[in-house]
Amino acid sequence: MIFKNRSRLFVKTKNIKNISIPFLFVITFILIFFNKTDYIIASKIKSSTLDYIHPITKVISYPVNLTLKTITHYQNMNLLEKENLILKEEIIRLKKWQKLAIKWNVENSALKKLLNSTTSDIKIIKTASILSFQPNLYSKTILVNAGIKDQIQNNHIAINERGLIGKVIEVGNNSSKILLLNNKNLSVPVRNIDGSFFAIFAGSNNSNYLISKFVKGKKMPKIGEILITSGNAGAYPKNILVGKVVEISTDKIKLLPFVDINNIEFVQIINNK
Amino acid sequence: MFRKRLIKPFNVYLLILLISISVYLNFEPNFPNLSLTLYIFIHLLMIYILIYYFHFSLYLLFFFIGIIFDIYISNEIGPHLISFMLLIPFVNYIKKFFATFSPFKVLILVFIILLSVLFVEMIFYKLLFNLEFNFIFFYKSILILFIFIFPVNYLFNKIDKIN
Repeated sequence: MIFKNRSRLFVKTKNIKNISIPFLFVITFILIFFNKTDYIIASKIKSSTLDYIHPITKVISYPVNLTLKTITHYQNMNLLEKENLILKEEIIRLKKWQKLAIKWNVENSALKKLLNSTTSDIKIIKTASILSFQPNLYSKTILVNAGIKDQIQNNHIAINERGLIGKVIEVGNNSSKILLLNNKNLSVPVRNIDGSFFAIFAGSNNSNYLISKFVKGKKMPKIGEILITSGNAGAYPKNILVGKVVEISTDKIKLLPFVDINNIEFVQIINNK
Repeated sequence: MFRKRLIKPFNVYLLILLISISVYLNFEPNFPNLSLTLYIFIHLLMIYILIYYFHFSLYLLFFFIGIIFDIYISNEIGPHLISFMLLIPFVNYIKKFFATFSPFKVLILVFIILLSVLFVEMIFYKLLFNLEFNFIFFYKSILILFIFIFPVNYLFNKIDKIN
């Protein structure tokens, strides 16, 4: 009797195996198909994975992350003296800029009054802090602690005090994923301050720089020139700082982003008004 | 008795896998090479479990790991998932051919399988999402694997002897 039951159980398990393995393969291909066709289920799986998996993995990895943060902290302590000197120089430079900025600000508001123009075309949606960095092999992203509940949507823009950071690509209930500026798949239309140079830049294999993908016309910028978002196609709001031209060759222009991608603590999620 | 039943090599490997994946997904960005090492270690561990501790439940486990990796790494579902799912029947099929191999030869085979998996993932990324081949990553992976495969193998041997 026992033997019979056991053999039935064995047959049952074998049947489950025979059914579930092809079933998993079918699910795999369906998921890939849904993802390729941007079907809503794929998007829901992505957002709920971010919402549910992140807190669990964060707790498990806490001791390791704490150790690594401590190591980074002590490394930074060693560099403190050098950084202090650099900062002192930067303060002197910034004070000069501050004087100019105050002067321009007064001038700017006077001119705006004359033109009867609105003050800003940017709407700040939420200031969020970073949950985790994922500068991975295939895409460079960060996870922030704001989601659907904070009215964040796909394609909203992330900035900080230094300039453009990236674009929201996935929104969960409490968290969102931002594709960083230095990603190969993120293209940013830019122009120089006087509006004589227009181009599209994207990330490169060397994640420190952006590389030009398209340059409008034959006019080239100068080395050291500041580039800002052009607002073309409405993908990004106008006049957000992107970076500084560091190298110009025959086929490409290298741009150093103003934002230090590895040291972001807070981001502001914004949108066009 | 209960503790003895619980602390089996297979369970220890699963625990290490869970911790490694969690750490990798929340890794500090200031240590990119360490992150890459962890990424390779996870692949190595998965192949090792597959060769020496194959269980039916691994299909389900690899399925979920594939999805999580894909979503976290590229925000697209596909390359890791399909690579891991194809890896299981592939390793199961070739396992019978190297049943008589010495441990060292098996280690070399693991090395080759791992590099193939990384390469296949890159091919799937190119085919499905047009993401560029990153050869620097591939060369780095080979170097890291050369450095770490023997210490990791030593650690795995110790875990194998738990019972």
